[in-house]
Amino acid sequence: MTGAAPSSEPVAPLLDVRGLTTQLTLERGPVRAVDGVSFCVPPGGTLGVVGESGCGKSLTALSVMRLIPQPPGRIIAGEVRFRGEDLLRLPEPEMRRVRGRHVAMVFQEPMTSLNPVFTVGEQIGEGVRLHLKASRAQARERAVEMLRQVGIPAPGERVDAYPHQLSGGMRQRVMIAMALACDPALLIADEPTTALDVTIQAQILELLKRLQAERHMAVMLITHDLGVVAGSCDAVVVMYAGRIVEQAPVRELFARPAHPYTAGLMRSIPSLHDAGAAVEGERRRLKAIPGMVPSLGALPSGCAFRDRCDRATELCARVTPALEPKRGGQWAACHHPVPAP
Amino acid sequence: MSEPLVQVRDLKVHFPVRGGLFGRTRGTVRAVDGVSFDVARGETLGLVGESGCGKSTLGRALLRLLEPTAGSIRIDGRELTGLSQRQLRPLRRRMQLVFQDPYASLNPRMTVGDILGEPFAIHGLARGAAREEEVLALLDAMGLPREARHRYPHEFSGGQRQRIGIARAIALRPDLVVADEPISALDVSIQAQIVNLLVDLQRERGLTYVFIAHDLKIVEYVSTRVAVMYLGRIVEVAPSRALYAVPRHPYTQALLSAVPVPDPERPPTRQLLPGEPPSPLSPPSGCAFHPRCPYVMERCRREAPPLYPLGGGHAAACFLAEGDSQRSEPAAAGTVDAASPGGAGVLAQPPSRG
Repeated sequence: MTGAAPSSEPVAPLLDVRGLTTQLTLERGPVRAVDGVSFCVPPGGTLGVVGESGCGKSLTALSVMRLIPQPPGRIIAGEVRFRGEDLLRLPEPEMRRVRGRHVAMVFQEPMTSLNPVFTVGEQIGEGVRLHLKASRAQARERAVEMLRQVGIPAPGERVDAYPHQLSGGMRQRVMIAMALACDPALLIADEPTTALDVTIQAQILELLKRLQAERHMAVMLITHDLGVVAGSCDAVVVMYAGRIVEQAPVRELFARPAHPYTAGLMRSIPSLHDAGAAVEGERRRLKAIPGMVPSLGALPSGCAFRDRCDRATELCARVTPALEPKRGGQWAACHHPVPAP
Repeated sequence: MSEPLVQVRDLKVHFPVRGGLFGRTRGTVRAVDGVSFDVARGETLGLVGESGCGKSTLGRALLRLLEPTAGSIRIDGRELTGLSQRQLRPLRRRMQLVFQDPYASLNPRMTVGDILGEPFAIHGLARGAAREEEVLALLDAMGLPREARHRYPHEFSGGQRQRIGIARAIALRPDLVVADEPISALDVSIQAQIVNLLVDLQRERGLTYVFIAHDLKIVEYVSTRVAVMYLGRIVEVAPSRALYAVPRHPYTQALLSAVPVPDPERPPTRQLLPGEPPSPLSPPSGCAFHPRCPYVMERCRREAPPLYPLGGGHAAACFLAEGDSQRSEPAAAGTVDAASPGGAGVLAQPPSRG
C-alpha cells in the first residue's frame, strides 16, 4: 500500500484528516501546536507520523481521538473524517462509542496507562463489556483470548495478574490486547516501543504487524525513530513545529527526501556498520542539523525550519511554504526542495 | 605500548534485596558479576546491553560512585578499590561522569558560570580571574555563548544543557570520562551535534571514554571497541568493526538484527528472541542467555561459558566459539590476551559464578 499522500485514492480512506488545527493556551499566549494538518489512512494501511519532541505528532493523535485536555488545548479548525463521518462534530456520548470500539490507542508508557488496582483481565474486558455488551464471563473469556493472541504465556493465569506483576514488554502487550479487544478498524500507536529494549521492541513491532494483517486493521504509528518507520509503514508524514513538512510513500521518502529537514534527519543518523568516528583514518563527523528545535511560542517568520536550513533564502523568511506535490506521490512544504539524486 | 588507562578485573557489584517484616536479606541482585576489561588511553569502549544488564552500574562502580563488592579497578596503575573517600578525592578530578539527564544533574539554583567554576573551587584550582578565564574557555569549546555564564540551567534547551554537563565533566581535564546514555534524552536532530562534540573533545584533549548506550548505531559509530553485557556479564567484546561485522555471541547477533534499519528496501530480518531478559535476582543456571538462545545445547544449561579469546581482540562467552578459541584452556583471570593488536587488551577469564 502506498496510500496516504493526498492524491486520488482508489479506495475511500478510513481516516481523512483535513486542516486539523489545535491551539494550546500557554502562559505567554496561544500557540498552534497542530497547524493545518491533513492526511489520510486507507483501510488496512499503515501511516507513520515522524517528528521530534514538540512537533505536534502526539497532539495530532490526541486531537483525532478528541482527547485533548481542554484547557489548555482546543481544536479550533479542521475535520477528522472517520468512514466519512466528521468525528469533531459528534456529541461526546457518540464519540465515546467510537473511542475504543472503532478507533483505539496505545501509548508509550504502559505503566501509566494501565490502572494499578484492576487486574489486566478486568481492564481488557472493560471495553468488551461496554461496547459489545458482553457478560462478565464472556469478557473474561475474551481477555484470555486476547492475551493469547498477543503472545503472553499462560494467559489463563495472567488474566488475573495486576500490571505491576508484569514486565514492561508484557505490559505493552496487555495495552495492545486492550486496544484490540473490540476489533477496531484503526489503531493509533503513540511511540509504542520507545520505552522498550531493542529485542522487546522487535517482538512488539512484529506482533503489531501480524495482528494488523490478520485483522486488516489500519495503523497510525507515531514515532521519532526513522528505522521503525522504514520497517513498518506504507506512507509517512514528517512533522516539524506543528506542521506537516513532508508526506510521501515510504520508499520515496527514504530514497529521495524532498524536505531539507527530512534529508537532514536521515543524514544525521549513523547507519549500522558505520564505525566512522572511531576507526583511525576515517574520523568523520556526523552531519548534524545545526541549531535547535524552535519553541512554538517563538517560531521564526515564514518557514519554521529556515534558520537551521542550508537551502533557505530570503523567500523562506517572507512566505510560509504550503504543502505541495513535488514529484511522484511526494509532497513537501518547501520553496527549495532537495533535488532527487 | 603503554599500560591501559583502565584495568578492571573480576569486578562484582551485588546489591542485597531486603524485604519482609524485619528487613531481612531475601536475596542478592548480581548487577555486575565478574567483569574484566581494559580501556586503552585515548580509545572509546562502548558498553551496550538492555536495561538491567548492569552497564550503568558498571559505569558508576568504575568511578567508585558505587561500592564494588569484589574485584579490582586500576586507573593509571592505581588501585581504586579499598581507597577511602578522602583518598579518592584527588583522583576524582581525573575521572568524570556525563549523565543522561543533564537537567536533573545540574543545580537549578546555580548560574552556568558557577556550575562550571565549581570543580575548580572544590579542588582549589584557578581562582578569581584565572577561573573566569577557564569558564570562558569551556563555554567556547562547547560552542555556547559567553553570556551563558550568567544564566540558569532551565533557560537552556536539552542539547545546550548536555553541553553544560559535558563542560563540567571535562573542566579539570580528566583522563577518563564515563558517558552514561549521554544522548538518549535528546531529540534526533540534536544527538548528532553532541556526538560530534564528544568526538572532537576526545581528539583535542586525548580523552578516554567509556560510552554507555542502548543505541547500537551510535555506539558503533563512536567506539573503538564494544563490550556487550547480558545479566551482569560481558558476553562479547571486540573492536567495533569486527563486532558488528561478525558478531559471535547469539545474543549479540539477535541484538544487532533487532536494530530498526532506516531503509525500506531492506525489510527487517529480525531474529526474534523468545522471552525477556531474566531477573538478575535469580539468574538461570549455566549460561544466563540459554533460555532465550536459539542454539542452546545441554551443556549451556549446566555450565557458564568463559570468554573465549578468538584473536584480533575479539572474545565471546559462548561454547559455539570454543572451537575457534586461541587457547586450549581459557586464560586465568588477570592476564591480558597478548594476541590482540594495538595493546587494547581483551581479557579471557574462567567463569567464577557462585
